[in-house]
Amino acid sequence: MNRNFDFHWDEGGSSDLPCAETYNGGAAFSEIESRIIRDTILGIANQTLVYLTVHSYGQYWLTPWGYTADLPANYDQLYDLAVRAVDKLTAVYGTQYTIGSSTNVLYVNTGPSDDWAMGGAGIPYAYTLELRDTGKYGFELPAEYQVYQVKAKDRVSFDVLVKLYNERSDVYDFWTEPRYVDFTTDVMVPPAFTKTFVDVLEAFNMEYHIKIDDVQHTIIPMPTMSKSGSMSPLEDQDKLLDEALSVVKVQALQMKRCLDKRKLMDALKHASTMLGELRTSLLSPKSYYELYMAICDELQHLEMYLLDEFQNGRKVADLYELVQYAGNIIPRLYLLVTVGVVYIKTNEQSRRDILRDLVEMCRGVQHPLRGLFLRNYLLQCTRNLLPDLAENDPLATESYGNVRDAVDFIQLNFSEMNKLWVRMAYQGHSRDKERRERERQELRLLVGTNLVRLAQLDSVDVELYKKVVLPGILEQVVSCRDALAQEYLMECIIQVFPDEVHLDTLHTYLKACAELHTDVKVHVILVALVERLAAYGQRQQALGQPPIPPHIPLFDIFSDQIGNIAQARPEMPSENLVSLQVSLISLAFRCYPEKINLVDKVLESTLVALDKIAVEKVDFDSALGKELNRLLRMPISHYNSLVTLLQLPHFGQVLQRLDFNGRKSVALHLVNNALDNETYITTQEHVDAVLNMLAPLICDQPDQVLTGQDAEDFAEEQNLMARMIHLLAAEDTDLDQQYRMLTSARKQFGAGGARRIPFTLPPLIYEAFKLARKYFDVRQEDELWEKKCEKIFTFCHQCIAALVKAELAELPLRLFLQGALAASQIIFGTHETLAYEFISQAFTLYEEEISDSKAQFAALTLMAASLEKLDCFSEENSAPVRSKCALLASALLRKPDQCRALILVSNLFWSSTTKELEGKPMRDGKKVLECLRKAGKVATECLDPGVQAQLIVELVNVYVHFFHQGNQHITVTHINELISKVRQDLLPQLENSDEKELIERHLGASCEMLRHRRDNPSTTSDTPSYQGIILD
Amino acid sequence: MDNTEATRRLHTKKQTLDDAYAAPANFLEIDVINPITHGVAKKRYTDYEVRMRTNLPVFKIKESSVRRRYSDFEWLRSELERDSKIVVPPLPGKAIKRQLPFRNDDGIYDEDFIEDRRKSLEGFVNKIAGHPLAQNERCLHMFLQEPVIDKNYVPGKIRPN
Repeated sequence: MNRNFDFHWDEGGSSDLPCAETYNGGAAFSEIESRIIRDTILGIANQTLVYLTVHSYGQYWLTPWGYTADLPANYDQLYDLAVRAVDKLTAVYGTQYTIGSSTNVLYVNTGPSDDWAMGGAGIPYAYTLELRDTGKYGFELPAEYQVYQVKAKDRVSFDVLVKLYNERSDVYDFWTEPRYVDFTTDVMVPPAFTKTFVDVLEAFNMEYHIKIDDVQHTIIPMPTMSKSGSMSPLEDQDKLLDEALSVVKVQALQMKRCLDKRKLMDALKHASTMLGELRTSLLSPKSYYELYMAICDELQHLEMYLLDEFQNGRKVADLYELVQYAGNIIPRLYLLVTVGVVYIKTNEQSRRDILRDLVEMCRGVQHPLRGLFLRNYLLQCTRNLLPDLAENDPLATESYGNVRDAVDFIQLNFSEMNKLWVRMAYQGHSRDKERRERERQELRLLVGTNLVRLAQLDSVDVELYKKVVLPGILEQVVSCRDALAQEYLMECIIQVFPDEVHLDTLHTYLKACAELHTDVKVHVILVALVERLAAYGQRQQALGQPPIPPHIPLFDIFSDQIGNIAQARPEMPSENLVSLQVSLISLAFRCYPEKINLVDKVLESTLVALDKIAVEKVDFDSALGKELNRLLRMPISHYNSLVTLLQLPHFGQVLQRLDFNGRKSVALHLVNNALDNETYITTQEHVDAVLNMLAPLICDQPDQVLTGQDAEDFAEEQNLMARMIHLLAAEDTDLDQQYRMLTSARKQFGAGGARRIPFTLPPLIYEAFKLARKYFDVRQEDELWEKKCEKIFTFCHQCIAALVKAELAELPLRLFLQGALAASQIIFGTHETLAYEFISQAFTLYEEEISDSKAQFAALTLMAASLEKLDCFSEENSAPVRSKCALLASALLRKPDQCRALILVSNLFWSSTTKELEGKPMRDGKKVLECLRKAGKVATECLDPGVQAQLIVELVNVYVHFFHQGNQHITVTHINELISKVRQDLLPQLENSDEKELIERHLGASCEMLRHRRDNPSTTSDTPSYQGIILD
Repeated sequence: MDNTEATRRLHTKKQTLDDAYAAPANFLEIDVINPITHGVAKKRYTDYEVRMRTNLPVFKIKESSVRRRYSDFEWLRSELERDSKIVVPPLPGKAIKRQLPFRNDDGIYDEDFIEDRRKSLEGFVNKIAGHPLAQNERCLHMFLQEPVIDKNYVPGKIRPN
C-alpha cells in the first residue's frame, strides 16, 4: 500500500512481485485503499496542514522524500516541528525517535503516501511515524493491551488511583479520569504492567474487572496474521477451526436477522465480518476448506435475498459499487462476487462486463491459499452464468458475450489459480517442502475445476478447442515449470475432455509433453492417454466403426512423438521409455489388431533406444529389466502363439538384450504359453527359431548364473522342455518335414550337456520311433520308406549313444530295449539287424556300466521282458541272446536275485518266439526245467531258512504254472518235493514271527489252489492231472 | 442499463508468464543447526552451524556454511548496533545463572538449553539478515560467509552491483 501512491511511483525501493512486502501494486493507485485515501485527502487538501501516517516499527519520525536523498525545500520547518513532537513523546514515554528524511534514515522507497501527500496533494507537513517497538515485535505490534474497569471503594484506594493517574500516565492510559469514590474508571494497561497493576488493585481492595481482554483484537476483529504465513501445528487446527466456525455462525445469524428486518447495510457488515475469518493464515488447507464451505453456505442466503430484492434490476449497480468499499480485500471480493452474480442474474445484458470485472478484480488476493479459494468461489458462483453461446448465435450480443468470453473468463481464472498454486511451493522454509507438496496435492482439484468448466461449455467445438482452449491451457502448464502442477494438469486434460478432440489435437498435446519439467513422469501421462484412446478405439469397434478415424495415423503420431520426447529428455530413465513402448504395443493390439508389423516396429524402436543407452545386457532385476520383461510378455500373452511371434523379427533381438535370468524367465513364459495353448510347430525353420529363443533352457549360456539353482527347479524346467518336444509336429502328410524338425531339434538339444539331455533326448527318441511307425503305416505311398526308417533308427542310435557318452546307463539301456522292440515291429529290410544291434548294445551297457546289484537285477528284468516280446529274431540271433540272459542271471551277486532272475529267464524258453516259429511260442520244456532246477539249487544255497523258504514257495508257484501250461518235463513229484522241503525242513527251523506267518500263508494259498485242482479234475484233455499231489 | 461506470478500472499491465511463474527473487533461508560442544573445563564451548541459502544479489555466495559460537553472535549484534541504522533485535540471554558451579544439570551445556538457544539464535539471525539495511553491512557478510571472523576488519557497506 505504501508503495502504491502516484508520486515518483516505481522508481526504486519497491517490488514488482506481488508477494513482496514492498509490492508496488502493478500500477500507481491500483488499490482501492490508496484510491480512497487519495480521494479523501484531495477533498480536504487545501484546508490541511499536517499529514501523519502511522507505521510499525523502529522509533523513527520520518519526513519526505523517499524517492531521493535530496531534502524537500521546507525541510527546516519539517525538522523543527518534528523535533518538537518527538520531544513531547520523549517527555511522556522516554522514547528516542530518530528524525530525518526516509531515504537518509532508512532507504529509498518510492510511492509512499507521505511523498504523495506533500508532492502530490501539496500538504506542507507530511510525516511517517514508525512506532516505538524496536524489533521485538517487528511489523506486528503486540496485541495484549488490556482494558480494566476499576472502581475505588474508599478514600485511600481512590487516592492511589489518582496518584497513578497523575504520576504514571506514561504507563497507564486512563480513558476516564478518576473523579470520586465509587466512580468507575477505564484504564488501558500494557502487557508488561498488568501484573503490577493487578497487584496494586488487590492490595487496596479495589473492585475491578477486565473490560477488554485484547485491545488490538477488538480494534481489528481479525485473526492475527503471522508474517511468515506459517500455519499452526496440527493440534491447534481443530481449536482454530472451531473458533472461526463459531464466529461464522454468530455473524451469519445476525446477517440473516438483519436481512429479515430488511437492513441491508447491517447485513452486509455482518457478512463482511464473517468473511473476515477467511483472512486467516493459521489454518491448514483442509481446515480452511471446511471454513470456506461453511461460509459459502451462508453466502447463499445473502444471494437469495439480493436476488429477490433486485429482481427488477434497479439499484444493483449501486450495490455493486458499494461493496467495493468493504474494509478488507477478502470480504470485499467475496461480496463483490456475490453481488456480481445477482447483477448478472437480474440484468442479462451486464453479463460480459461483470464477468470480466470479477475475474480481474480477484487478482487483488495474491496469497495462494486465500486466492485459490476465492477464485474457486468465483468459479462455483458463475458456473451457470457463462455466456455459452456460439459466436454467430443471435442471442450472443455484444454485452451478453459469447463462448469466446466464457473461455477467456475460465482461462484467466485458471492461469491465476495455477500461478497461486505453483507459488505455494515457495512459501515457507525449504525443509517443509514435503508437507507443502502434500498440501498442494490436496488443493489440486481447485485448479482442475477450471478445466472441468471448460470441458462443460457446450459451444466449444473442436475448432475452438484446437485453436484457443488447448493452446491456452498448455501455455500455462508448460510455462509454470512445476512438476507437480504439470503432471496433474496434463492428466486432467486427458480426463476431462472427450476422446474425439484428443485425437484431433494429439500433435499439440504431445509436443507440450516434450517440454515438461524433467521431474514430470511423462510416461505416466502418455500411458494414461494411450490407454484412453485405445479404450476408445475398442468401443468404436464394438459399435461397428473403425477404431480410429482413418485420417488420423494415431500409431505413427504416438510413435514419432515418443521418439521426440525421448530425444528432448535425455535424462529420462530408460525404463520409463520402455514403459511407453509397452503402451504403444497395447495401442497397436487394441486399435490395429491386424497390423502385426506395428508391434515389430515398437520392438525395433526399443532396440534403437537400448542401443542409445549402450547397455550390453540388461539386468533382469533392474527397473529397465522389469519393463523389458513386460514388453516382451505382452505379445506372448496377446497372440498366445509362439509361431506368430516368429513374425516379429525384432522380438528375438530385444530378448537377446536381457541378461541370462531375464531371457530364461521370458523363455519359461514362452514354453508355458505354448504348452497351454498347444501351439504346434510345423517347420524346421520354426524349430530353429523357437529353440533359439529358448536357448537359456536348452544349453549353457556364456553369461549364465546357475549357482544356487534348486535341483528341483532345474528338473521342472527341463521337464517343460521335454513336453515342448511333443509340440514339434509337422503336417501329418509331411513326414519328411517332421524328420528334418527332429534332426534340427536334436542338434540344439544335443548341445545341452550331460545335465539336460537325459530330459530332452528321450522324448525326441520316442518321437522318432513314432515317426518310423508312421512311415511304416504309409509304406504303400512312399517307396523310400525303408531307407527312411533305417535313417531314423540310426538317428535314434546316435541319440542313445550320446546319452551313453554322458555316462548314463539305465536310461540308454532302456531306450536300446525300446528301440529294439520298435525295430522289431516295423518290418523293413534291415530291421532284424538293427534290433539285434540295439539288443547287443543293451547287453554291452549292462556288462560295462551297471555294477550295482539292485540295478543289475532291475536291468536284467527289463531285458528279459523285452526279449520275451521281441519276435523278429531268427533262431541264430535269438539263441545266444537267451543263453546270455541265463548266464547273466546266474552271474548276479545275491543268491535270491539269482534265483528270481533265473525264474524270469526260464520264461524266455517257454513263451518267446523266433522268426522260424512265425510267432508261436517256443515251449522248450527241458530248458525251462533246467533253469528252474538251477534256481532251486541257488535257493537251497541261501543260508537264511526264511529266505530259502520264501524262494521255494515262489518256485512252487512257478512249477505249478509251467505244469499247468503243459510242460511235460515237470511232474507232480517236483512239486511235492518242494512243498515237503518247506514244510518238513524249513518251517520248523523258523521261530514264530510275521515272516513265518507270511510264508505259511503264501504256501497255504498255493496248496489251496492245488487241492482245488486235484479234487476237481478238468474235463478237457489238455490240462494235466494233479493226482498225486501231497498237500498235508 | 449501463454498467460501464460500475466496472471502470485502471488499466494494469499484463504480467508475463515468466514473471507469473518465477521463483521469488528474495529467497533467503538461514538455518542454525548441529550444535557441537568442544573442549573441556574452562575451554569448553558450544558452536553451531550457520547455513545460508539465498538468491539475493547482494550476497555473492549463494550457499554457505560456517560455524559460529554465541560470542560471535554477540559480536555481530554489537557491530550492527554501532554501524547500521537498523534496530537490532535482542539475543537470547547470557544465562549467567547456568554458568554458576554446583548445578545438578549440565549448565549451559544442557541439551534442552542448547536447543532453546539454537532456536533463538536462528530467529535472531534471520531477522537481521532479512533487513535490507543490514544486508549492506560488511560485518553481516563476514558473519554469514567467511570461514573465520576477522574482528579487526574495516567496517563498511557493501554496495549492491
